[in-house]
Amino acid sequence: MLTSLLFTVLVGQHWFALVLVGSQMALVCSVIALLLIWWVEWRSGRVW
Amino acid sequence: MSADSVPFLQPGIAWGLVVLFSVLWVALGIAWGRRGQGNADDYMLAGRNIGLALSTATLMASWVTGNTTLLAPEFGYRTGLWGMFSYALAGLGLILFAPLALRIKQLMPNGRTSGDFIRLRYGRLAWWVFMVITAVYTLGFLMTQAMGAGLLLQALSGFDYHVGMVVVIGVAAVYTLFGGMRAVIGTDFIQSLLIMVLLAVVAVLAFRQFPIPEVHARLVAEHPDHLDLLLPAGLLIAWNSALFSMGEVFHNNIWWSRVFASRRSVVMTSFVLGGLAWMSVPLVTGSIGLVALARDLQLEQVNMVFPVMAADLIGAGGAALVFVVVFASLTSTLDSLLASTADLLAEDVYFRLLRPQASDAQLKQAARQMVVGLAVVTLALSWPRLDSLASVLFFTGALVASTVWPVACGLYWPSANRSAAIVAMVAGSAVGLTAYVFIATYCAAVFSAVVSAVVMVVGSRWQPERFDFNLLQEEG
Repeated sequence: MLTSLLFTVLVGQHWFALVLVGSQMALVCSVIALLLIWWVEWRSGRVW
Repeated sequence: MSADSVPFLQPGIAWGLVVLFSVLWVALGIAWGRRGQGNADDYMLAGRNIGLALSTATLMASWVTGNTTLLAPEFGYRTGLWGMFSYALAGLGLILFAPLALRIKQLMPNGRTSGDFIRLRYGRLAWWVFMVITAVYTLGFLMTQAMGAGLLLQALSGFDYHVGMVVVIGVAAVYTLFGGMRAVIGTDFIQSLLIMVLLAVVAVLAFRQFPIPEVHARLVAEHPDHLDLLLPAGLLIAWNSALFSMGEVFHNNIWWSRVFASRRSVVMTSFVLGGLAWMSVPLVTGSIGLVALARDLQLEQVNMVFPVMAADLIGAGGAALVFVVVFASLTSTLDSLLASTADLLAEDVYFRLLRPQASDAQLKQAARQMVVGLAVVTLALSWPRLDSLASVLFFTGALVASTVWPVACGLYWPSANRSAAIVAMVAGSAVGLTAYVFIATYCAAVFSAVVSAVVMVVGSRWQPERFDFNLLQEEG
């Protein structure tokens, strides 16, 4: 019991929220970045 | 939720969504396919000049499979944070391949397939070993996606298993057949945006219903192991996931074809961005699995945790969003598999092995026939409903992980020896499969990659080869 407790590191609420919110933000940022890159390339005729 | 119980989405709405997106993919695919010069290179590699946006999106969309949207939440539900992290680490395969992608583009300006590289670098015998590995993996991958399509559409909307499978494969095959790689890459761009936007919507709505502090408090009270960062099994699964994904990406022609199709100036950046963007998907879908656990949601079938949660939290609209995400994930992966495997067979088997005198038009025709042939073979193999195919795909981890070092060493190290490459692939696969059977399924790739690395390095040091990299610049 003591050994298992020694080798246990629980994620606190702050870091837990950071992971979850961070991953959602990363998803949204990916969409924005993709659209932005596409728009820049489209304007210079370099999409294909 | 069993496959025969009440579906999440009414069949009428599901059919409407299928028809809408099928018509859209086919129309766009055919339109984009008409843009090129009409030669084999254009059909197989989209003209070799695609920009950063399309290159990044096609990598991301091809890597988001039906599993990413359904298995990652199951990992989160079963194993907790490490389940999500280990699934997300599969994105490392794309990121670590980025420098190799640039190297490939520099060394093989006229290359078409991963098979071209192995044949030119290590000779015909190594090519045969490599082709057996890639054939087993690709068929397993095609079958899991096809069967996943049948099972998922049945569970989500009540479609007959065979109808769902035929619809998804049929749509992907039609636009790939008529539009080639341009159709695949163009539709991948829209599919990747669709997947990411809809997933973000589902996640935001889900956490508005059930806030993060509440989820954390429930997990600490009832499932603390799911928040443990030192979970031993989690650490091992994470390593295996990273190495398995490296094997998948380093050897498979899906990713090599994207290298040859992309503009040289964007190829490395696109693999890094594609990998990073992809990693957020299993983290977000996995977090939905944690919400389900915190809510103590009872599941008859744990791989349905994502649609169950979406329907539970958001209602019928949530089920429709999940349906579109799953449909886009399946078609974007199947079109890539069909196109790149057809290219591999047309270039490596038809052109280089059977008919070296074939014209450009005949090569293009062969690639088109391969698309149809592969779709038919996939349907035939997936027709009987097998429920244990996921384990078949996991066992291919032992095979593909053995190709990582022969590919990486062969690109950078002139001393990399062809005999060592052959023995590394065979021995790595054998040891990996033994570990899969006798130790645990999730350690097969680790054993395979380690043995393959040792054999490759020792064999090449023992009898170094002096390879001239200019030999890779073969004319098409």
